[in-house]
Amino acid sequence: MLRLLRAQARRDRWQLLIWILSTGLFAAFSATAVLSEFGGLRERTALMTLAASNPALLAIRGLPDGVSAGSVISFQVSTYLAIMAALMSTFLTVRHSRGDEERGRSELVGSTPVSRSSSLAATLGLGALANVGVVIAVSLGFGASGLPAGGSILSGLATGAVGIAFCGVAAVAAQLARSSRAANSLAGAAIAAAFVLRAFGDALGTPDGSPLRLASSWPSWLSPIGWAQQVRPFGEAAALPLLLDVALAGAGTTIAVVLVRRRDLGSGVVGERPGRARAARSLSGSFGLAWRLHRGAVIGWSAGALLLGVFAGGLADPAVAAVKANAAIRDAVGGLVPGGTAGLLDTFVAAIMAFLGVLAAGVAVQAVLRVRSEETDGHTELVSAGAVHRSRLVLDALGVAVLSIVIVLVVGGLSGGLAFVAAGHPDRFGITLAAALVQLPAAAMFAAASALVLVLVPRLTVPVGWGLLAIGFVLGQFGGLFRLPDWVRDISPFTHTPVLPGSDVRWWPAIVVLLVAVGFSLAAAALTRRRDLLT
Amino acid sequence: MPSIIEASGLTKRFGRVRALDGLDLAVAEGEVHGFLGPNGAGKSTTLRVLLGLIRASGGETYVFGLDPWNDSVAIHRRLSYVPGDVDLWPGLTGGEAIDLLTSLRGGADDALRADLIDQFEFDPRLKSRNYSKGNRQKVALIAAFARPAELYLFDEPTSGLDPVMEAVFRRQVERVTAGGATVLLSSHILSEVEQLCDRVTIIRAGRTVETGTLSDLRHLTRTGFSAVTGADVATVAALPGVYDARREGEKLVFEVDTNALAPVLSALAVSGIRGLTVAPPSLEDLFLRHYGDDLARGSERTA
Repeated sequence: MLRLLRAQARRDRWQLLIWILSTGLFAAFSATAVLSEFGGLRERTALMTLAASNPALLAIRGLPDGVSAGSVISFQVSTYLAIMAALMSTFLTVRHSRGDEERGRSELVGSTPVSRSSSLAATLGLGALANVGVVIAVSLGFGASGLPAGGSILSGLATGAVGIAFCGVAAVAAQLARSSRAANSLAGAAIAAAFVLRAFGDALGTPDGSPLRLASSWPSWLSPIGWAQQVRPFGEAAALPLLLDVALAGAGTTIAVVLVRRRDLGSGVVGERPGRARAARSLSGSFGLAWRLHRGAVIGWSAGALLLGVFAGGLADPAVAAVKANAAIRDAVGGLVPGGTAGLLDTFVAAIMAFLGVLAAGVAVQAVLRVRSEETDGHTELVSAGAVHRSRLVLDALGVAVLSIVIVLVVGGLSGGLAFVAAGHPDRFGITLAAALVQLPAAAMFAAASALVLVLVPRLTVPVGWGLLAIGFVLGQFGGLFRLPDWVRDISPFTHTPVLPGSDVRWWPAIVVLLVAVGFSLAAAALTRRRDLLT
Repeated sequence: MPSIIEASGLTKRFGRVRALDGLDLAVAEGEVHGFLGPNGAGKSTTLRVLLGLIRASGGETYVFGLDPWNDSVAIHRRLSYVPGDVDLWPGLTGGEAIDLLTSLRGGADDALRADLIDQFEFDPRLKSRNYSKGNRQKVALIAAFARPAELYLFDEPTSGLDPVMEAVFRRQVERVTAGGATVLLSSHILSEVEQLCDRVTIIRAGRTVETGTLSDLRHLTRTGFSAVTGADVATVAALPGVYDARREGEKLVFEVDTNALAPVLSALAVSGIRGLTVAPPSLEDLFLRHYGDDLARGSERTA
């Protein structure tokens, strides 16, 4: 087993190093930013006063826990640190379990004298080690920025605990699903659910002792990320909730081991029925194939968009109530969330829709990256031998990307609009849908940029594609907090998305983004003509 | 006869590696052309160049008189291709994959498709991830044969198929060539090439070493003799064109160059023969003598 662990660790060493280092750097960077911007008690009190009464901010940030520097930093970034650890753990676990099984490597290992579960054990061992790395990186990141040592270490432990919990979740997902893509989606949905549950729980939190220290409502207690937040590392610290994360990891491991011992190699727990003997009319030609391969992902991302929309409508009334309760908030909030719009409700909708834009960009990037995986899986050779032009494959992927963006945005916009109608704001329907649709240029830009990378440096397609999206997300969500200069924030296409609803809507930057995206797409298609198929 | 495929001085470099190094290949209309070589000789690379999936670094290549890189779509409309290693979409059933692949060339002939599924004893309702290598190969073969084409390119098409299915494959090749189609069959399975091919091109390390009809190439092969005869070993071994003569029990075993058969047979007749077994020249033999050194070492490159 140790030998297997060493082999897996060797394969992953750079990838894991990058995950761990970027988690640590993100912690250090955001801590330094908060300390320099909200160095004084007065600034921090002002900030948290605003935050504690604004459900939108609570939802997209975290749990307020007083006004110490550490607590404010925790409020701002702990959720995102936890998500990074959870994603790292998910990808790591699935890659070495279902991923290896899919590629036939497990068959080789399985034929040697090791027990059926030892490969899984090695993977979870590697997951634990990687999360120890995360604990150290976050502790050092916070500690080096000048935060108290105890709180820094607790923050690190909380982040690592979420990571380990999702190792367990992903191990079960890898047993249930039959492909690594499906396993990643399943575990990814669990992370999204954990985020949404704690977002609801924190947004509906109630003051506890002081008005700036909230107690989460019950949904947070259903979320592994929520448990980590209850640690309150820089307040009245309590490490006990982390046991829940560890218990989840243990339960996941046990279930996965039981499943791996009972099932055949290569099979899933979810059974399989015989499928169609003939292809449906829609599965014809290269575009039909591209759409069919992406359909499942579109459904998954749309489910996320639906949740987000319902979330926007469901929190509308608490948000309005907050405005009525404290008129002074209204003016100050504009500076905290992207754009400087008038009403709090407007700001709230704009912030939620900025998230929807990220989802749309994600589904689009995934559509383009599929061209790469199709090529490395050897499927492209079969398709290209048909009467299909080389550039068609890239154009098809971009077409599917745009279609997916529109679907995700419409689903998010409609559900948001309808949720507003249900909450008694029928006048909000149109503007909410519009606020969703204006995210299209930025999302399309990510697809086009990924396509260009795909054609020029195929080997880097996957890391650069997702990396660009991550950078765009960080610049959009944290650019203001980090006090980044305007030209840096302007790199992100999200910065140029019109802020709707609002009074001062600027359209031309989005139009420019759209034109650049079209240019990139055409360039990518033209350059495919010059490139060998990779086999 | 006009050439369907014409390649001369074909080269392809991948970085520093020369996968093809001045390869020549000519396939005439209506023939079944065998394309032989050990693993890593450049067979698959050549086929990919002919398909325009990769671009030749040098040399001239024409398929149907067109340039494969620039006119790939026009060429692909007229041909069917079966790659050596068929990877399918795990979420699609075999039937869906067949329909998808034929749809890329304009759709399958439904009656033909049904007949092929029947002959290849293929279950089209399973998800592709459940298929063995042989069954994945069947998907590509059925898709290739289910729509008439002028040219069929096969890259080691029967790998993973059992002998019964190999026979089905041969019948299909005979069917399409009877209809006038041209076939290029890359292989290292010599019996397959011997049974199907009119002409053969043998390549090694990216270069053509032999090309011609099978009987042209027979001069390079030897016939195996095993005779119960009164002649002694030394006499037979001294005859021109005789190799490896030795006595095994009461039999005299030796090999004879194809062009030295007549004198050896008369010499044997003179000595009296009580029993005789003659093994016909096989491509196996020819192949081994061309690549004997390579096969012994084992090739590291893959095509």
